[in-house]
Amino acid sequence: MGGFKLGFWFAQQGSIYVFTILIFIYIRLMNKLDKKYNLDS
Amino acid sequence: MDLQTWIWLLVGITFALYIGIAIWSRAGSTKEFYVAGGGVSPLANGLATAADWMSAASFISMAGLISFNGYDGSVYLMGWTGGYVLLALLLAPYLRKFGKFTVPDFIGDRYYSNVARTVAVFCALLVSFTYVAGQMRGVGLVFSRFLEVDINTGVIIGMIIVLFYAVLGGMKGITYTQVAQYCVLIFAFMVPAIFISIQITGNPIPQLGFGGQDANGIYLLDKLDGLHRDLGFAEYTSGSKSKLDVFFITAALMVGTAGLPHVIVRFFTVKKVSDARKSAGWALLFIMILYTTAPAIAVFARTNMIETVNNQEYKNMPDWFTTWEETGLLSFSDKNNDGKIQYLADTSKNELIIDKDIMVLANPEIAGLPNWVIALVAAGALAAALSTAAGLLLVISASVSHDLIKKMIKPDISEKGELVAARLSAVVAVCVAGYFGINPPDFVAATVALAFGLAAASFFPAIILGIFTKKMNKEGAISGMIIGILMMLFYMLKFKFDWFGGGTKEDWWFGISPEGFGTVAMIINFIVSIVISKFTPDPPKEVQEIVANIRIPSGAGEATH
Repeated sequence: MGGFKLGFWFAQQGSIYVFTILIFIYIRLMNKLDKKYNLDS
Repeated sequence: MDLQTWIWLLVGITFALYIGIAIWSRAGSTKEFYVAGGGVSPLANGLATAADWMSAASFISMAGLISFNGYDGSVYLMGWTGGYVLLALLLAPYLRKFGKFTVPDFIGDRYYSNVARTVAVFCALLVSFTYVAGQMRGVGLVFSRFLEVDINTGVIIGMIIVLFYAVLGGMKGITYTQVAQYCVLIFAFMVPAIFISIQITGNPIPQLGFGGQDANGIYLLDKLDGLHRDLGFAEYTSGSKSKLDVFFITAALMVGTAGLPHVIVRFFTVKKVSDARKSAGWALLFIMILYTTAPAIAVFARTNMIETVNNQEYKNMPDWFTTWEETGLLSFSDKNNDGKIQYLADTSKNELIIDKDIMVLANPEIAGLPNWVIALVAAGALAAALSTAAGLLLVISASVSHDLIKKMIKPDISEKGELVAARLSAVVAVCVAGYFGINPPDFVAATVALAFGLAAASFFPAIILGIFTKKMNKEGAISGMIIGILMMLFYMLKFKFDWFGGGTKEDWWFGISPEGFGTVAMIINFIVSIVISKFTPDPPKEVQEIVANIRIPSGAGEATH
């Protein structure tokens, strides 16, 4: 990654991207689960 | 056009927009006043949550904080975004299913106790007031610097605007003004960042730009590390805090974010449980844009600032230098009388003192950007401060009118009467906030960061245990909250304000700073709650059934009293 040190990049950039992706994965999985048990209203 | 005209123009247009939205979306019922009628779309709620959350601290102070602390500043970036993962996964969907108007409402009903409700109201007010005073101060700072009015006049103008749309529109008015404020603040944050990124590295994306090379082919971060070494500072990309402390501070900020009442109530405004999840995702996506840009601005501003001032003749300093000197946020004393500015880590030789808060505001001027960009930053900072202040004021007024008056003092109050009470308490709250903005007690600056510790130590365990264990009873939750918040207050007063004998860094327990102590207090809160609940009677059957029910996502009705 260009002029970034790996640890520095993860602390100030990467972690935030990971958090966002985590939430969207969770939304997807939960929606699937809701559909499976017919709980989506 | 000159700078002043631009600023008045942009600030005027944005203010007119907020007031216009407030008139268009007046609240007619308590339901509209507390939760915007409960029909906000996830996208709009995500935008509003982002604006609600990103305060004067995020917009004005955070990049400056990172700029001065380098790698150590990362705790704020990780803590303040990571909290949304906790919110989305552990809190928002369940609290929405529970279907109440406020956080103390949840605590009071789940723990079938007005004592629990009172403790929660007290914690909500403590957290919200420390926070809102900081916002009003931010408004005053922007007004005094950019509109050249007195800082107190600035606070009063800000009060009137917030009063107008928070009192008139309630949550409904606030939601739609916050959507507009997000657009204003993100545009105002990004435009100068993109300009400066192109100027320094030729890359229009700031997130990539600060890892890029300058005109001479040197990596920007290497250059900044070099400058820091020369001036005697710690390297920008290496940390000086202990790993344990970094972990505890980050955890306290994350948990505190998830426990902030003004953020939680935003998830009560959507129609169903899956919308609550979605809006948390949208919110973090919109927050991410600003939070990943801030560290880039920090690097650009730091490099630019050092190169502009260090070892330069004082008399050759550009205009912005003198204007900021007049505000007292920047000061220069020529210690060795050579007429040049020496900016050094060694305090006995350092001649320049810069307040962290001016980095974002001064950045466009330091980089010599056009006037309209500078005006835009002023409008954006005001949007950030006002949106958060409004959200907090709503929490305060709902705590008073709904949790105290309706639920405890006068349960037979009419719908109309409650709405009047809500509006009146919003007016009182604005005045108190304004008073603290004009006469900031010394502890305000110190406590805004600590508000997170307080939220982490009090609310978070009570809410989590209330959702995920059926057996948690009122005795456990109340003693946990009280012990948690007292521990946090004790540690904060001892090490920040020198009460109880005071103490220095060496006396910190296990080397944990007061900012990180919220995590410890939270863990103690969890332990106390669980142990006490084992020795006291189980909660009633109905409550256990409610808890089982909130785990099923479907059938979330309208939020009710």
